[in-house]
Amino acid sequence: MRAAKGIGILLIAAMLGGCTDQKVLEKIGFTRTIFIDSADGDKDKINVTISIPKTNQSESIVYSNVARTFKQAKVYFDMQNDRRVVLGQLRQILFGGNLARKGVWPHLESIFRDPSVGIRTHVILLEGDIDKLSTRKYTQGGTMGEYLDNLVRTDPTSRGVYDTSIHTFLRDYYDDGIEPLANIIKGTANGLMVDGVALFVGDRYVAKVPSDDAMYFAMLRANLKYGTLVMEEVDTAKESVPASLSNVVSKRSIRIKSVPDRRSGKPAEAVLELKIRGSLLEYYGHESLNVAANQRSLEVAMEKYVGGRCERLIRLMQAAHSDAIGFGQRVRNKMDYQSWKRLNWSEEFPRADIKVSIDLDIKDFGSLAES
Amino acid sequence: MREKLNVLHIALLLFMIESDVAVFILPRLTAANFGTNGWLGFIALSLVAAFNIFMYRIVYRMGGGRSVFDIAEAAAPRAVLYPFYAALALLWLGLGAFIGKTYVLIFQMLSFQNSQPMLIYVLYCVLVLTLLTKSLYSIAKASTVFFFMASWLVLLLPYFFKSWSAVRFTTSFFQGAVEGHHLGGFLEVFAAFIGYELCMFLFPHTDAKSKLFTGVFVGHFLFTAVNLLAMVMCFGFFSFEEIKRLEFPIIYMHEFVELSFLNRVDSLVYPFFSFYSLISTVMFGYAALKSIGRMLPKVSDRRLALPVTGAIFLLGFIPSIFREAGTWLKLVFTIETGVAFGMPLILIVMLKLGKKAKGA
Repeated sequence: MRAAKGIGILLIAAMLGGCTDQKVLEKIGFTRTIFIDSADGDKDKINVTISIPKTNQSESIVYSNVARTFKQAKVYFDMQNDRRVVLGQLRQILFGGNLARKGVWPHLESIFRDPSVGIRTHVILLEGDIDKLSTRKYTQGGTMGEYLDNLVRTDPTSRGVYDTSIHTFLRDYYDDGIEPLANIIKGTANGLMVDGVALFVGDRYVAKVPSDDAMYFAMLRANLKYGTLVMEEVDTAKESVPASLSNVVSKRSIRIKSVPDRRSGKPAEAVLELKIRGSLLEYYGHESLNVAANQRSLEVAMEKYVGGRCERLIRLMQAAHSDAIGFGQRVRNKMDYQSWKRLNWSEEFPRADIKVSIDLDIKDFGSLAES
Repeated sequence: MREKLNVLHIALLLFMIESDVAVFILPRLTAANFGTNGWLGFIALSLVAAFNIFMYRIVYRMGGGRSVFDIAEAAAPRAVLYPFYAALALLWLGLGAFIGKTYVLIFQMLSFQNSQPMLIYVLYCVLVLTLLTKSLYSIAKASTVFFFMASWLVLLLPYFFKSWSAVRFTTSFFQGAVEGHHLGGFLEVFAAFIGYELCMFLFPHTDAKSKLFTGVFVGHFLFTAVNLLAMVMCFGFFSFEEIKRLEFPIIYMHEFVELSFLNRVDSLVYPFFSFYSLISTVMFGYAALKSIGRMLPKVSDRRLALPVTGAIFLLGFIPSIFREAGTWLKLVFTIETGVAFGMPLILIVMLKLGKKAKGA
């Protein structure tokens, strides 16, 4: 019995020892946003800014420093902050354009290596002055971090198809048949704005898909649900008019007709098929839409318009050598491992012959069937 | 009459023994050692393990359900056997300790960066002790409860479907292994199954009604199926080259789960995995305890529980960093794999010898 008591006391002592690893909420500064850009003047250094929201949720503490690595900068933040700076609640990593063009990898890796950082943390390209943006008051409510988090998550320009996070970035960065993406955000007069999608080759930012094209790009990248396709000029035989489809559901499939042939130098051939269905909720034309033939000719005209825009996007990606859609993955899956490894896909991709085939159906015409 | 184990208990106990820290890293191990579509290699190894279990079944049948100690002692003098008992006990103590310590090291890295790992390990050992002082029947019942406590994790699976794509599996097979294909790599993956050989300690606790080997096979294939499911999710969720680099793919997958009332589920999920390691440690401890008990017939099992747990605790001091824990685990798992295959062969020979000795 005495032995049992002794063990009990020892155990209590041991468990109390566990209290050394305290995490008192009031003594911790939860970093919500990290911004990294290359430092002016010194090509080896980076400019790191972090933002820690205050408990009132409407203000945040902002620190910044120039250092060689993220952790080196963090030491300096720890020196100033009255609470321990931790990354467990990190929501977004923002990269400045200059750094992103040189490559984000070692810095992104340095942050991900910390086990407290979640793979859902957004990876975003920021255009604009971080000092101003991070301390500004937003009428949309909350701090920059919170606003940005909600904005990227629901990204109306693409219906959140590329809610780019550490997970998606790492996944596509490591994969050899696809390139990673990042949302681009910029500051405007009354807030922040989604400014398109950054295309990468490896970890380097190489080209930008403008936000007007984001929805079209979203359809190329993945299946889309509840999107809106705004078409500026749909060319029917008689007129060229604006129209738009809402509640768009699109299904994408990629067919690889042939893989690149080294001997004959023939490039890869692929067809990207889109099945699009949506409600016509805007139509500035004069054709009567309750005539079936007119409906069909409008659909054909829209198919042509959408196809044209999609092809333009693919040319943009090819010119940048950035296969952000994953044609390479499918080409890889049609080849044996050794031949694929010998192939340099980012060199081969621009040469690939990629066609887009659109099958568009107008599901309904909204409240005005009779026109 | 002592209670006998029933088939459900046996199956779940075996599932829990086979599950240990290896489950977090299995996708990486299969990708790194087999290459693309490495999960198929996992199936192959599962069949190899099943064959090994089948060898134990032969022993069980031939020995008529006698305990392995009885079989061995009928064929060879105790003086010869005791050094083997001692060596095996040490091996099992090591396995139990290193599995537990590795779990603690991972736990510490993820959640308690500033805690002394040995403090967490003490608590782990207390749980081991409380189970070891009970009978095997109670351990089996506890592991059944633990199984159901951790089984809700399967409900999280649908969460990953949205980000899952078959394209990432690639169409090549067993290409791009980190160091090519070699036996050491296969053994590393095979270690995930290690633990099934402890079914030989269940012999005395079963009768014909228990359907021991039905239970063992069900447990083994359940383990294979659950891990296969996790791996298939992983191979479509991460890209192949990425899996090879992620330290704990399964944990990162859980990080992805975000519920409206809760995010970073991973830190909630990880403690539930402690049950898997715990039962593995307890059962290896139990095996060691039985072997030591055989050499000290006058000491009751209950009184051995404390020294056995003490030994597991002390052995836990040996690996203090990840690399060491990995090296030690690899060593004991490799030896144990040898034991797992060698044991039934030796026992079959002993059964033949024992019969001859009786006949003469």
